[in-house]
Amino acid sequence: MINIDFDNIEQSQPTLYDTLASDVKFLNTPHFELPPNANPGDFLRETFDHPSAPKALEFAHGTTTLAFVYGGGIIVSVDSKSTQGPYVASRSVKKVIEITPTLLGTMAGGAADCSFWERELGRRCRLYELRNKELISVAAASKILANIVYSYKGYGLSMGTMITGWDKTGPQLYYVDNDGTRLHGQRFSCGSGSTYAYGVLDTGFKWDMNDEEAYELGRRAVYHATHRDAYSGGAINVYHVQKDGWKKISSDDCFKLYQKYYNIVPINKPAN
Amino acid sequence: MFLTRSEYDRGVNTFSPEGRLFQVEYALEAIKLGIGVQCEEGVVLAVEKRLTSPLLEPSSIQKVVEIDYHLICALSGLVADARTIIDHARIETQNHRFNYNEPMGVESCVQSICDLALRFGENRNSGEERMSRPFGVALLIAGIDEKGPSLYYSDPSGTFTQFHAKAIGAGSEGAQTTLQEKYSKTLTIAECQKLALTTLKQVMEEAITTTNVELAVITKADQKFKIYNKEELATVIQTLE
Amino acid sequence: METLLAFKVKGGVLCLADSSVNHSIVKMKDDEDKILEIDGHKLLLSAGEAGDRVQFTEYISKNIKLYSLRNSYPMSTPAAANFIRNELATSIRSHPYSINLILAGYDKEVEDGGTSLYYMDYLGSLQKLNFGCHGYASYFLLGLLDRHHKCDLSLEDGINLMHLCTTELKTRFLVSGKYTLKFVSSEGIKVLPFNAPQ
Repeated sequence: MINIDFDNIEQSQPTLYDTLASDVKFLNTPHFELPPNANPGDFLRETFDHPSAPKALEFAHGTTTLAFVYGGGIIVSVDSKSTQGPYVASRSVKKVIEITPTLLGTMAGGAADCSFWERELGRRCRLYELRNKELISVAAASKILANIVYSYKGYGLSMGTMITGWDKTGPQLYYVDNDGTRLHGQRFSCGSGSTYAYGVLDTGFKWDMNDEEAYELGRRAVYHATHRDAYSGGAINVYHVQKDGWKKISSDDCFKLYQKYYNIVPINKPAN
Repeated sequence: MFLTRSEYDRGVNTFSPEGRLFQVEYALEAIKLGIGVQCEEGVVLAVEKRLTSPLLEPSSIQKVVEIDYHLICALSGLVADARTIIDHARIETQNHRFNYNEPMGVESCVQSICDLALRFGENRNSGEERMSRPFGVALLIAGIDEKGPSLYYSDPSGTFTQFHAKAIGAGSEGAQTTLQEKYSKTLTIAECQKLALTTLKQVMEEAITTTNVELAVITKADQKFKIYNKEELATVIQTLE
Repeated sequence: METLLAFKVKGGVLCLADSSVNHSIVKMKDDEDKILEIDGHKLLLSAGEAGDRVQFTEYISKNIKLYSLRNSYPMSTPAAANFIRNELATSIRSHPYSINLILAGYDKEVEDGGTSLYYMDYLGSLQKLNFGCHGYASYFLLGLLDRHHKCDLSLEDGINLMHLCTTELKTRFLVSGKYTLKFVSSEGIKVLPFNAPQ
């Protein structure tokens, strides 16, 4: 039997309409255009390794973000400094991404990568909710993100993120990063200041602390990280995730916290 | 309507000598009853649910669906076709939020639905998904945006029109007359609800109950839709007598 | 710095894997299960590149499950081993999965008492062995196992041998942490409590 494909009798050059159509498709599912090359990953690496290649811009590379689960829910605490090398690009970056009214994500690595893909995650979670008349689980949401970044593995995405929320199974915390790792756990920290934050977080953690203690632990852990890590700083934002969704708790300037915790009077205080 | 079967009702891409597309007009016939009323305070949608059997689970029929927090839609006609359209609208509203970080305008959403309604026919581009026939659904789309609450009607031809009050589907002519007589721009949202349900009641063959109608509102105050549950519906129905 | 270890004992295969997930110098997690239960009688131990490990093993286990649904009988362990090797080998030149694996299983039809143990590496090599080990730990354990391992060890002796191995790792190996221990035999899969020397 001979099969004739009536759809592909003529293969003509793409017209302007086709290009527009592909733009529309682009809007339908966000993705990156890849170089038209047999091996886009290698191609990009060679191009950007070249001595005269433009320097890659990476915002928010130095960061401290953390999240932990305890008896009263989940605490997410982050700094707000954005740097490019020695240059401080911003001291007021929002590193907690409000994916949906019940899901939070954090930002470490490339700020654009994080916000783009977590917005895409928000879009997919909302569509899931509309289609299935049920909120998406944190496990499923984090898996969507992990699968996306895994499909771009080796192409230079840079993100380290914690996805948190409260679903049918209770408070949930996942760590997802650009090489496709997806981990379920109780305490995670990410970014250049994460090791300092872990030091405070791991030693100060108690499952049955009250909410105020938990906020203070999250704040303290990031504060101490900003103290030691030059690439972290600005203000410290704390969020609390509970059964009915997330709530922003506080935003404190690091310097104010420094004065509070160390009780040091500035040396050059004007005499009056 | 069409007593002499002409040869012009086979394809969807051939006009009759009178300039009509019969397949599209046939699709318009496949529509059941729905009513929408809009006022300053918000929009009301009321739809009749045909319960064809007492063994049928009423909650499994959903005639008013959510497109986004600020957009709802009453559907009548071929529900299977409507699902395609609704999913398209949901994707469009979410894409709008993704790209612009704001809720989609009501008219833009209706526009995108009507764009899809026209994507039928035989000359398919490769890779394109396309219906071979027009969608057999008419929609009443209610929403709220910076221009305030609004009500739109879209039909299988891909036309859309804005209305203050609109009845669609079987028996809609009588209902539309009633709406025309009783509608005034100064109605409150409660009066709109009452108007929608009384009009529906007039045209419906059976008595109005909490199971055979669906009522939804979007108010300016809430900026968010609300589909009435049984108890809430019962209190509104009580006020009708 | 990951450790995978499996050896045959009488009637089954004992499988041990470390349970830490590390990121440069940070230990992200210390209760990760790296021994995937593919079906009632197969264990897949995996170690390697972050992301690849979970994606590949999930892909494999879903395909083996699909096979059993389509054919209404499970894939045998030798068939599974060859299937996995083939997947690794066909992807090596385009999108390599940097992971090392050990597959252990029990099938009635297989000779030598039904147990089988396969060693696979990321290049797509496949070896049928009586004991197998991946990672730096193999430098310490292969000699030890050459000396002490016998296929007719009882389960209890096998567990003792596992303890001997982890004690050696504790004494001589730079890194050590927590482990997961599982056992596959004709009775299916059992997760055994295992407390490594602290």
